[in-house]
Amino acid sequence: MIKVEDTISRVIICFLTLLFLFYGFMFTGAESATAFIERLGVDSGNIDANHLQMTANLGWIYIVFAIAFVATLLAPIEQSTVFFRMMLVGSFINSIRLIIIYMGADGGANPVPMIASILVFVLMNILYNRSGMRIGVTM
Amino acid sequence: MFNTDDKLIQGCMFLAGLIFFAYGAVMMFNTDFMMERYPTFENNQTTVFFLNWFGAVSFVAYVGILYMGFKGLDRGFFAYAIPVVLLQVIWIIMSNAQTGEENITGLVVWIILLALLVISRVRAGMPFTYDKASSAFGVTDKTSQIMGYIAILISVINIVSYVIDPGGFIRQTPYLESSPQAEHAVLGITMINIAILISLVYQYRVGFSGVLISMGAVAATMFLAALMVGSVTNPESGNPLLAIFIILNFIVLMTIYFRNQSNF
Repeated sequence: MIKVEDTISRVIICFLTLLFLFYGFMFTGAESATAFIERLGVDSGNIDANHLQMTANLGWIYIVFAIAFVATLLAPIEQSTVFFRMMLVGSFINSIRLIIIYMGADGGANPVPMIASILVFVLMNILYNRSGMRIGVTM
Repeated sequence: MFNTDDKLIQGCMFLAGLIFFAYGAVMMFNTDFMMERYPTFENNQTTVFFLNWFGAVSFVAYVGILYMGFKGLDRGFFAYAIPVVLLQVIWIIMSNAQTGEENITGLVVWIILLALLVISRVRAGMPFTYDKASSAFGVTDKTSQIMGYIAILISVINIVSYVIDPGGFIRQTPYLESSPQAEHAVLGITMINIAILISLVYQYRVGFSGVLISMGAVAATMFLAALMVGSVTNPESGNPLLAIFIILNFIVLMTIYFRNQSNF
């Protein structure tokens, strides 16, 4: 059933699936999304239905990515090249962005999202390398 | 689709998948819609908790239909899905009897769902005799067998604990508030556990079923993610016993899945 043959790649994909599902559920639930935003240092009084609608939209994107990771697990690894490349670039941009936000004068009170984004970038790099997708690499 | 050319089976399974998906999506991600339609539902975190739980179960059933769409119909799915839907129909009838039949939409839809599943199974000509596998769970791998026994044990403990103390689950979870609706929801979850136990006993006799194990892996992942979200959102009001069961369930099902997935 699983077409990815490399065990470490399998573990990374499964971990990323769980991580994205976690963030997806976090953002789609009103109560959990409010708690998440509060942990970033925002007062709960400033969170309204529109904010929660936006986080729910974001949560669905995370859930879709979790489904996409499961799909990569079930397909031959070379069919996932474009998705992995997009995730690699996306996670790089996201991690840089969150590092800059955290380091800024009004930086976040909670470093966990930044750490998570860096972790995703590192794991995507490992995944990309191990599957021989980096241009010029032959397996 | 479903490894058959029979349009009736394809249509029935498509509609069954649509119903499971619709209920899963609404109960997991739009709980306000459900609460608006049922006047006796209190709009609180207890109702949301149980709606999410039932939604996850519906969504996992949809995943099973999706799996069979690619791989073909599997008797194992019906060994779980027909009992779970039948028990849910009984549960909804009990619920309506308590509340004075406030909304029969759910009852009608779940009866249609039951009919769709039964028609598909009968039409597919699947035998009702279940030949015994040469070894427990149809595998020689001791680890998978032990995990299968643990899964059965978890289901039995859940059912027995409800029989002994129906209100215990809510009482042990500070996050939840006791109410007639909440206690009835725990009965519904117990009924789902009975269907899970039936499917596990089926697999003990016939062998591991790809669709059931895959559904279990999806369910275990979703529940673990939900547990992680709950532990971050309400770190001091969780149920440690429930957390242990979810984590143990995740380990058991993932072990079975990864050790046997090459056969599915």
